[in-house]
Amino acid sequence: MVKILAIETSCDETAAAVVEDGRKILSNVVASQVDLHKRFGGVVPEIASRSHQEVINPVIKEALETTGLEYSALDALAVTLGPGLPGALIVGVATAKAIAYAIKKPLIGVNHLEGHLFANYLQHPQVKTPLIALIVSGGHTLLAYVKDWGEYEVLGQTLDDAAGEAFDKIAKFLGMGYPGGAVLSKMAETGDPRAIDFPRAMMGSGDFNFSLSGLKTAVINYITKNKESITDDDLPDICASFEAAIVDVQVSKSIKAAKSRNVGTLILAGGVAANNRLRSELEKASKSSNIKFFYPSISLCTDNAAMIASAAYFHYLRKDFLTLAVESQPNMGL
Amino acid sequence: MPDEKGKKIIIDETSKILALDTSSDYLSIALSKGDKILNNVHLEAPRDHLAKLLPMIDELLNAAAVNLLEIDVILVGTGPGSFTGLRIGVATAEGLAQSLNKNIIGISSLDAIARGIERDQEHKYEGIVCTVVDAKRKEIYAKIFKQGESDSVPQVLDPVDLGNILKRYEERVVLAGDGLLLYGDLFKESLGERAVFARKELWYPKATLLVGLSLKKRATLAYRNVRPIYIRKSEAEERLKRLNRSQK
Ligand SMILES: [Zn+2]
Repeated sequence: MVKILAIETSCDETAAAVVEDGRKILSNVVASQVDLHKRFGGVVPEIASRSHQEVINPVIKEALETTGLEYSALDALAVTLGPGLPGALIVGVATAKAIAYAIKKPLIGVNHLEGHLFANYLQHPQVKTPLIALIVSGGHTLLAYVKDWGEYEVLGQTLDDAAGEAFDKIAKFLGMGYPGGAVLSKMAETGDPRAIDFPRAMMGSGDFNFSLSGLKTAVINYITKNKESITDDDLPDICASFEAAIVDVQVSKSIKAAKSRNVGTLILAGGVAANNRLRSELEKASKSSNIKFFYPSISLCTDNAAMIASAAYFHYLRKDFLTLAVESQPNMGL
Repeated sequence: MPDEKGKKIIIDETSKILALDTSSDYLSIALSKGDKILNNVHLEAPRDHLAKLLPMIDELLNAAAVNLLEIDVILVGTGPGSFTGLRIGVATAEGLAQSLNKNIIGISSLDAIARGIERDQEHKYEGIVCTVVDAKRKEIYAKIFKQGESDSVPQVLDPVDLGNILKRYEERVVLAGDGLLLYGDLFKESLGERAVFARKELWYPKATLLVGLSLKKRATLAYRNVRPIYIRKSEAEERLKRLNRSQK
């Protein structure tokens, strides 16, 4: 049985986990920095880097101690190489390199986006490749064709804002604080998604790319223009209509991608996978197109190290190990 | 059982020490038994610390036939200096120490620079010592030493302000650090004859000097979670502070 300890520090969560054979989570520790960044209305890279440095060793220790294992019982160390914040990634990579060297175990580098895909692999043994994956988070909005685990082709991605970013920005504009994306979605639940017809940008563009900055501007303009007449009672409708505009395009393109590649499986991943509307609309559309649809539980949607350890298992089987000279890769592509 | 954070460790002639400093453009690593340096490297490697640090540590250990498990103490230069460099050095030292259950001690990199001047074999420097490490954004990291001791904490200062502080002393002022490349003339102007520039080899913190510093103290408080000395807050925090102040 292969036991891998993984470290993840690409953005604002310091995480470590131990996973056996890519599927059995023995521990999964996440220290969120969200409170540190709140007053700045967004993630401050320098604060993130410093915080990772302060908590990474206690987090790793906890992840290992929870399992009752010693370092010597591990088969490999894994770490997120990128994409992510440069200073934040450096802390994880330097730490992982040092531990791997000290305990004389192989070191595996994992792409953060690949990690998100594996949240599904972790939870759903019945997920089979080839498949289409929609990754939506605060940093990414991307459609990929997964021919096999380890073989990816990016079909399209956002040309400007990531979906999670758009949610947080509109929430901030509506005075819902930071990060307010989840608050906005909660508000949307009681609203009418057809109340306002916000643009579905690139819906018919024929490719698999996304653009969200136009929608963001449209929502802000709508609110500014109708400032006098909008009351708190209108907020659910605005939130629901905004959310629907994002979700509609993502659902439409995901289904189109599955059909174009003739695959029968669609998986959702990334922090925004926690969004109820996105889940239920994808579920509906998949069903009517005879596509199997999977998504991870919320704790595995957001950044965590269990998904990194799971992805690392496949690298381990291929003996895809790093040398001590490896560096982080902030702009790493899938 | 004493609390781990307050655990005292004794460093003596028998201690095997691994010391590293990555707070400057130099990558500096030393391996010693007590104050006897077994092997060391001190090379210019700007932006290359992450790639080179562990391979170099491995090389030094191998060449000296020392097993990492034999190391008693890991010393790491905690700056102030390059934020990225500091994080690489501290994360590496902590990763090694944590997984092998080794003692780890952080020592200011500015103390290492001052010790280099105090102990220089080539030249007998007289006067007080002041580090002038380029902190970017037109500032420098400064710490003043008298006979190798300092009663002040490192500060980040405008070079003009530092010049004015140094003017108040009567002794010669030995300056060392890459800040001299930018502000050397400025110090010459404000201190005149009293300004002495240390030779350039002494401007960057050396790991061999961390070894000497740890032995000088012999017993030091060892602790987990060594923190880099940043001095500055992040720019976002400084901006927020200014904003709050202006709104008051
Ligand atoms: Zn993520």
